[in-house]
Amino acid sequence: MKEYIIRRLLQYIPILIVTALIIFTIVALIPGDYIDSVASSNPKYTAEKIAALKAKYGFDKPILQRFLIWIGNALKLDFGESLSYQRPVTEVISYFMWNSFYLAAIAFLLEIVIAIPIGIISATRQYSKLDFTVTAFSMIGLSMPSFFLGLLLKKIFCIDLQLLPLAGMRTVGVQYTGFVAFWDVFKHMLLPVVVLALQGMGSWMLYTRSSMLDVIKQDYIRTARAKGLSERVVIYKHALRNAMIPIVNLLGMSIPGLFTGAIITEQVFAYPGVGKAAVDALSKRDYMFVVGFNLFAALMLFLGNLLSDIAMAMVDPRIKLK
Amino acid sequence: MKKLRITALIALILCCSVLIVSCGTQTSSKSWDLAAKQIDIIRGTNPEKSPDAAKNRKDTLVIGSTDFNGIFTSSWSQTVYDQYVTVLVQGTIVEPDFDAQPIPGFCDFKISDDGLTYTFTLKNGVKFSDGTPVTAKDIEFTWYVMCDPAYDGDVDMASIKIVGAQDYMDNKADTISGIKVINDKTIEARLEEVNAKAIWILGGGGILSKAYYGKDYTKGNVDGIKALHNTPFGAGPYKLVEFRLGESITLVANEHYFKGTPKIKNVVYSVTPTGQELERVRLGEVDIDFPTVNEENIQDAKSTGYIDIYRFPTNGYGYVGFKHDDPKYSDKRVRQALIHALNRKDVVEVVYGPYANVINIPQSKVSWAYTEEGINTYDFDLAKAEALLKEAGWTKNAQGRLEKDGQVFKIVFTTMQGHPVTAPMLPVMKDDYAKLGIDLEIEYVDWPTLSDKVNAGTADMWFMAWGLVADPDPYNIYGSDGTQNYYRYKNPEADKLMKDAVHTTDIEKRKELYKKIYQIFNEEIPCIWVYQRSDMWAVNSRVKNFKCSPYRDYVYDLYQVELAQ
Repeated sequence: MKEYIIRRLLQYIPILIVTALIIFTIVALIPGDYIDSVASSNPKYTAEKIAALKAKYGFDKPILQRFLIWIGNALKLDFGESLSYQRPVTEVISYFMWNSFYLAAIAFLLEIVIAIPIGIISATRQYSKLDFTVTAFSMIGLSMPSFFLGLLLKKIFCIDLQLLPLAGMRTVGVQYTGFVAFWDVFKHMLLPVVVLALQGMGSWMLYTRSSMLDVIKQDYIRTARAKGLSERVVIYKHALRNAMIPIVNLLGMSIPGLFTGAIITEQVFAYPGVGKAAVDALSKRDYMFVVGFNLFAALMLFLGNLLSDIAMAMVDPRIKLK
Repeated sequence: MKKLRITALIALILCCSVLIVSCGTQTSSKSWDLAAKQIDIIRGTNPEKSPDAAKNRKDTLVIGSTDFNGIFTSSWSQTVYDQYVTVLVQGTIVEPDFDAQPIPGFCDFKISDDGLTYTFTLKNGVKFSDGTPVTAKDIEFTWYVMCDPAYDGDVDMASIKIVGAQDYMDNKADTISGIKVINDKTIEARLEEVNAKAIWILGGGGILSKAYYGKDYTKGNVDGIKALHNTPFGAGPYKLVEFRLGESITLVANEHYFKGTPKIKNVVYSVTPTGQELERVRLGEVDIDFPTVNEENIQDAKSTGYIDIYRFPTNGYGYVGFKHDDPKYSDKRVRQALIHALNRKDVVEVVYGPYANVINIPQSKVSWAYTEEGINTYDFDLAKAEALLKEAGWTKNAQGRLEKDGQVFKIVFTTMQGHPVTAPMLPVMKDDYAKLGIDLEIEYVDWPTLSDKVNAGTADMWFMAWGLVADPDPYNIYGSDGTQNYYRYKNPEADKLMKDAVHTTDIEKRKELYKKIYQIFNEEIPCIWVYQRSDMWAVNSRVKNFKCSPYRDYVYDLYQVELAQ
């Protein structure tokens, strides 16, 4: 198993380099650069200053040369400096990443704890009223745009009822400690968590439901029933275990993604997460940050794949990792 | 538009530059009448209704802001909110007055009669926030850093030609002969030629402590200074105690501030989601924020009873640009026809209501250089436009399109999707231009792409905004070889007048010259000026003594602001 993980990780290195080349090229090909976008309504920039800054950041070199310089540094774990924050990209990402993770992780836990049991129940009672309600609800959750849901909840709870704060992660201008501080952060995170959870829940319910339905129709379930086992044992011991295989696979894949942020929800709530920072960086043409962030997201995706393979091996005795 | 507004503001803050500096030392800021400066104040009628959330903050002022980049080192910080914090922490050597003239900040200053030698003398009691005195050596250090070959901020020290500075930048000399420390409190800079912007380049920023910023600095490597961007240190009215990226900044009063300890102990900046600025002031989450000026926001603010509005003309203007080297725009009659055929008044009315006005010269109505004498207002008039086009040789072809020498008149307008100005403007424009037989096609891109196309000269027609600087010199934008003359507008007569206007310090003479320049521009239409709009601060009524103006930002007077209990 250990050998397998190491081998997989080593395989990721060339893949990451190719990914980096693709990301870098795409980002470099977007028209406009950081200096242009800062200078074009600020009459203070002189031609000499613009040229000097572009040369300093290497914008005047061909893309391939820029990439080689960048990848050379990246292999030494130096991913460059964010132009707008003027700090190393890794530092900026690791700062925002945890804020995003707290938010996404709480939402994720909620989704799992609520959606999976509901999905199971609704599968066992296929075409019942409950099943229809759950399916309809999942569809609504899935198709509701997060900015709309976010603004709607804000209008109700922050502006009309004035129960929850409008933005941010903490109340500013006060020093809270202990439980009060926790409560304060909780109140700020409640709405973004609800928005994320409502969106995610739908898909988890549907996955669980369909996976469960597939299993329930298998021969061995009929056999189990024929053996005279109680419905409880049939569903929760024989069916659930097999139905969980694809779900565990997905779970493993989702976890690293929790670090890469929820772009729109973070934006709507001015939540200091990495997704919001990445979009801001793109509109400012903060190349290094955009490249760094995308590479980070790609890395998280690879890790997700690895995790899900490992998780599969753990739940499915038929799979042996070599 | 947000982006445009912010960049315009950055421009405003960074480049307040004025020529009238020969009068030497002035002692204090003139008393000023906000109304006379075109600042429209609407006071809350019922301050006690202010929400408890705000009232409970007895010694803390919260200011809503856009996101920070966290670059709080003077002469490096770029965005307007980074600048605010930088000014609060590091102060400035000279400050802009309400009428945009330089007045002493940390230093009194004197400019020699030949206009070449600038002498700065530190005021008594100027100390860093740890109580150590600021000396002329610190100012020397600050200037040297800005001349460092590795310096990558946007202050162009090279442009003012300090004696010996170029050799230092090119590594041909180890010191700058034109910068001389006279004694602990006095420093001198000598220039090679008169440059009116020098006072702002030398004195517009704060003072970097040599002890703090110099410890990991050697010439050619500014990384040691950049590592301190998040933890600024200075002699300004406030100290930065906590910075949470993307979230908030906490400042605390500096008891060593030379003008006296600020009256409010804590100032906190909190990031506000775009579009919810006013709502946050209304809920008391913040005391001050910067909502967009429109009728709805002004009405909402008024109806609360506890929000004061400070509205003032934006230092900038929006324009429609085109390239003069394109044959179809090279005839001034065509350009006049295009401005006549754009219903600017109605467009501005729709977008900003009564809070913006159509402009016909590239200058703020607040500026001393502004004039309406001999200025054509180019009212909406399709008949006139048609006549002008005909005069210029454009005739309608069989399909009703304008044609000249076999060329059909077709415009490609580049803009951003959902832009607050072009979204309502373009349908009207397309319609009216079609009536003249001009085909207007619209192309949507994002802001950096638009900047790029405009820079590269690949945009045919576009909408953008300029930030205005306190000094009216527009050479950079309208001069034949101006760096940012995206229009490729060329007029030797205007060039000469613009150069003359910078080489005199006599304000009356300059007024005359600018009047002539604006008359030429108004006749020639280098671009279609559309509007000058307003900005506003929404301020909880419990905040007393708040002062702002287009030129002098509120941060300069924040140390005097109080909270009513």
